[in-house]
Amino acid sequence: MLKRPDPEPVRPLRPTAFHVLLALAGGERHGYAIKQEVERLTEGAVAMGPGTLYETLQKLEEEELIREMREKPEGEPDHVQRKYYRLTARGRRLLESEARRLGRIADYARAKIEEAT
Amino acid sequence: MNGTRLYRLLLRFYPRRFREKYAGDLVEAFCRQRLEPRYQSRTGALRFWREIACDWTSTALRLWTVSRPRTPQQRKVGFMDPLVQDLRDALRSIRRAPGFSVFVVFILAMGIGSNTVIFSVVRAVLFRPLPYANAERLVRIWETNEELSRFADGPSPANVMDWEAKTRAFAGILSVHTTSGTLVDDTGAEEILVSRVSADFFSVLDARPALGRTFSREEVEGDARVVVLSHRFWVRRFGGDPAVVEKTLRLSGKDFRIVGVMAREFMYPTRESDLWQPMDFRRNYPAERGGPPRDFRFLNVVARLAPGFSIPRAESDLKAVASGIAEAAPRTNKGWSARIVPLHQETVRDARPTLLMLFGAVGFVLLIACANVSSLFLVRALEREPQTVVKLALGCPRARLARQCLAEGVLLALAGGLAGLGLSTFGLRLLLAFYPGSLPRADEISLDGGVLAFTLAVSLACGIVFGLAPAFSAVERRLASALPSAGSRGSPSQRRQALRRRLVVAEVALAVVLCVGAGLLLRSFGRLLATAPGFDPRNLVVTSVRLDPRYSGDDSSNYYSTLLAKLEALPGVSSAAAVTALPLREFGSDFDRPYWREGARPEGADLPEVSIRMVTPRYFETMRVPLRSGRAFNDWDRRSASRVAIVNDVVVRDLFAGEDPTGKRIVIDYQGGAYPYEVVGVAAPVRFYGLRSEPVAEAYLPHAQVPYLPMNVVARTDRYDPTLPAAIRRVTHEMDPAQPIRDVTTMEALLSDSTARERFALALVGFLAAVALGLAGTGVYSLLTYNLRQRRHEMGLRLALGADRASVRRLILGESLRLMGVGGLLGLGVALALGRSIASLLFGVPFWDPATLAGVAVVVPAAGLLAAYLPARRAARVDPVAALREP
Repeated sequence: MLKRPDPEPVRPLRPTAFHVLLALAGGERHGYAIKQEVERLTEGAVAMGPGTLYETLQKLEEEELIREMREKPEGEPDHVQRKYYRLTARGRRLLESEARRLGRIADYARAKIEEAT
Repeated sequence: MNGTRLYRLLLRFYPRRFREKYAGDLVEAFCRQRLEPRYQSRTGALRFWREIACDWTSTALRLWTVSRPRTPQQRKVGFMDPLVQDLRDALRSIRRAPGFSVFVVFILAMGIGSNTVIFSVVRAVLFRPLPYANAERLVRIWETNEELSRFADGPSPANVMDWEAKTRAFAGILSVHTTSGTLVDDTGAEEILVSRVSADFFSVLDARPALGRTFSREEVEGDARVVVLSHRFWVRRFGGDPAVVEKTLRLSGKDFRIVGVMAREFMYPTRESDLWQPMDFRRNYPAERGGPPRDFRFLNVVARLAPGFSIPRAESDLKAVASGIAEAAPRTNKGWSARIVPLHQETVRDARPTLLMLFGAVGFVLLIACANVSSLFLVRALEREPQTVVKLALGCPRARLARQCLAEGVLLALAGGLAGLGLSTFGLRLLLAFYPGSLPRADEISLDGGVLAFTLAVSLACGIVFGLAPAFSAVERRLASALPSAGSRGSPSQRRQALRRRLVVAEVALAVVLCVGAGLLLRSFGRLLATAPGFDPRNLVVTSVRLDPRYSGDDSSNYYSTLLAKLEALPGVSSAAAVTALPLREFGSDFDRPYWREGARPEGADLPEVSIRMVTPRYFETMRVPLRSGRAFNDWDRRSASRVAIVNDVVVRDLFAGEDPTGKRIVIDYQGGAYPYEVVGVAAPVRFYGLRSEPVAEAYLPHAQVPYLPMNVVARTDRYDPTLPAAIRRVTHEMDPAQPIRDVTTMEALLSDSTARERFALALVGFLAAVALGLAGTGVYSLLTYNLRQRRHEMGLRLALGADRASVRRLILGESLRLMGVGGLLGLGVALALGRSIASLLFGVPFWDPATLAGVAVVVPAAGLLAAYLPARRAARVDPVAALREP
């Protein structure tokens, strides 16, 4: 994997990627649980098919924003072959900066709208 | 194929690295998503597959095309790399010509979409087994009598009982007989469809109830007052209330206990079945009244083959038993045998020819679309020749050029397939909305995994077909011969031109086949509409009343005479009448009885039969059925008067050898005895079962002498009055609110329903033929346009040497006509060869109908000339000086 010198994003995250990171902010989850959490967070506005979900996960893993866990979480039966993911420190930083960026945009938008009305 | 397997198949198209890492998780996510509640309905399943298809396509494209950073170890050339490169090149070239790509995708989407729609219908209706356990072991049994040309009579109760006792060929036999009943509760009276079933009904079909239970044998044999509801009826009438079991329901004046509700998929004998009620032959036909009848053939009988019995073996077994019965009871059974048909075949029998014809027609349209797209691809290959030559000269392997053409074709075809899939969800809804009345198994149609696989396969095949033609020519192109002509106006490659010509000829031929089909259906439909039904269907309002049994005897005739008088008093109604069985209407008692001329009873068992109809006095006047001789019935033809009948022309021909029977007597043999009737009139024949059917022998009896409870009521009006149905409902409600009436409709609506299937087939095939003709015309147009652009130089030369513009035009038009002629002849040949397969759909027109063939022979060349006219005019307008000066 080529190392990137700058941990900050050069461009905004894709919405699916952002939401996956957000879904993992609350703790480790497996693929389908991530999808469910994203749908819950966005009230169904961001719906991912299986392909989109794992394509995004692959990409985030390659960019070292998430990591597959070595051991299963507690309470998970052994015979179930699921991949669990959690945020890396880099992923958490990126999520924070992206949230700040979105927050700034939201503040700006609110101000503009108030101005207009 | 089930959905998960299909999805696993789709996964193979992902890059290996991705697939190997995530396959298990992908499948799990797929399965769990599929189980989400929002995808559980039929439309939900459609949406699910659409979403999966979109998800799969977009991710596959992204995964294959987005280059990602690789470690040095991964940088070695992978097995898929050339393919990825080809796909990337193809994508680039598709993007470079968006107009062309969109046009190709559109043509393919139409072709593939229409095929997907018809395939999903054909698969669900014709190919998939019926929704019963081991449905292939279920057979329908008919009684047959070759001497009487009767091949599909529903068996009679006594015969079924004998078969059950005497043959081992069946694991179980069920009988069902559908009647209607009147349901009365607080909300009012409703007429419902009641299926009376024998003890083994549910067990033979291996059908389990969704709620409660089915009947026990004791209940059936004891004629218990119990019913099982259909899912539809349960939802409609009880709002799907699970507490309905053990409640009672008042049906035709008696209380019945509800013991169960069937599952949604269970709908034997018809989709309209409202409830099932036990029927026991011994109880229904007590011994003191002669026991179960042998010659009253009306049951719907289905059997499950016993283990080890094939259909032929079971049939020969059954035939042996039947001939034994015929010997033992010659009066009723002489000449009667039995025949077995797989239940599936029986269920789809009527829809089969139409569906197969449509399947053939859309297949042809797809072929034409492919030929058209191939032709477009060839043109583009020719235009790209200079680039191709440069690429070859720079050392690009030919195989790679060919692969790229193929990849482009396949990609466009897949895009067309995807768009076609989208169109087909819409098209399927349209088709089902317009399919006349009774497409069997319509509820089972869906765009499922099998249909997706079909679409995928068709798209890939299309892509390979029209990707191959230019791919070959890309390989075949020789450097040496190509280079000098690159960028010049040299004559086009002869071989490629010939290939394109052949493609156009094929398109024309296929279009001709479809045009012949559409023409035949059109002519046949015209014949059908021109057929007189035997009565005047205009301005007739129709309804039906089922009186409950407390109106027996004279009460029934009084009820109807009062009702008719009240109807005639309505403004705009000129006359009204009632009849037990009305042409084209499935309501009331329509039955045949043996009959003969008094004093001339033929020997033997095979007596001719006559359809019996009870009518009120003004029936003939109201229907405008002409009376050939004698009189109509009047108010004096009552029970106390002597028995009278009016017969139709068929009876006159069969029984009286054409002489006027008025004043003579016929004898009709009822179950309980034979009675003589004096013929008082002769009526014109009526096409009772639809315009396609021939009139049958009919005897009309006065309703006052033979009062029946369920009657069809017709009223003739001066003009169409939209308030009349409400007025009729009001009148019947005032007379007795507990008597339900069926829908109020018009005779013209019944007539139009009876030709709905023909109209539907005609509209669809006509549309497909028009599309085919349009595509073929486009093919001719693009061929000639391109050809002439290549031959501008030649045209300029001709004009410069003194040819006049008209002769240049003629030259071009002549070329088009030649193509049309060859294609047309080929097409006519194919049409004649295939004609026999649609002969069963035609009425009064042979499949080689000369008028149709002649019409097509005019229309198709005319379309060809139209397509050639613009290019020809352009060619004749060439400025010779400018054309010759061009390099």
